[in-house]
Amino acid sequence: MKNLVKEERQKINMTQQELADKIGVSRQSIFAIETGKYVPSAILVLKIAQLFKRKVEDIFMLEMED
Amino acid sequence: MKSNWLLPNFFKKIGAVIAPLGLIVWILGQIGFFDQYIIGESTAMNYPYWPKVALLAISFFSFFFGVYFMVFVKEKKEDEFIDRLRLMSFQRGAFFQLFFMIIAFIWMIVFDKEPAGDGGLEVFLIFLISLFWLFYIVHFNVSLYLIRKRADEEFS
Repeated sequence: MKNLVKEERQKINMTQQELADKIGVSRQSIFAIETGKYVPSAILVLKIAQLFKRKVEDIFMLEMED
Repeated sequence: MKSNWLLPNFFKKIGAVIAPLGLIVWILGQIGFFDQYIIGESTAMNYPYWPKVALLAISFFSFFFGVYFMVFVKEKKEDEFIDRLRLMSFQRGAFFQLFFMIIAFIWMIVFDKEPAGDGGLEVFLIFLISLFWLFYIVHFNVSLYLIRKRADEEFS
């Protein structure tokens, strides 16, 4: 699953640490999500989408192998 | 998911000190390094080996408690990514232990080299159990260190 978390975060000039603090995770978790090393849970996905005021499917997309 | 059953983070430092210290003292005690200092004169009334037995017992349990402290401890920021990393390290630790056990037993059977002597098999089995936990500690902490390092590099 790919995602546009980094792009959405940069659009509103937010750092990884700020995003991490707002959704209650560590900065390395944000890094792992942005680089595709970790697929977050539904709870975290919803939190991220709510924070960016976007639909989940606008930020997280399934890929062919998913 | 919140892991409420984990120890506070400061136990990690305690574990990192007492586990290696306990192991070193236990190994040195086993090879008789401390014998000249702690084994007293044998008389009909006393058991001169009790300080050595006590030292070995204390160091042995220090090692295991140290390992316990390092494994079952919270990170400074606990989240689902840490939980996943912990689970992955457990799985790989279990796989590595099983793989090592199979290879070791095949080696023993093929080359007829069973652990012998005073508690040879016992020591081998303790080593086998420890292998899982040590692999877990190394895998979890190295993975966490590498991801933090990469995150810091991107941040700077």
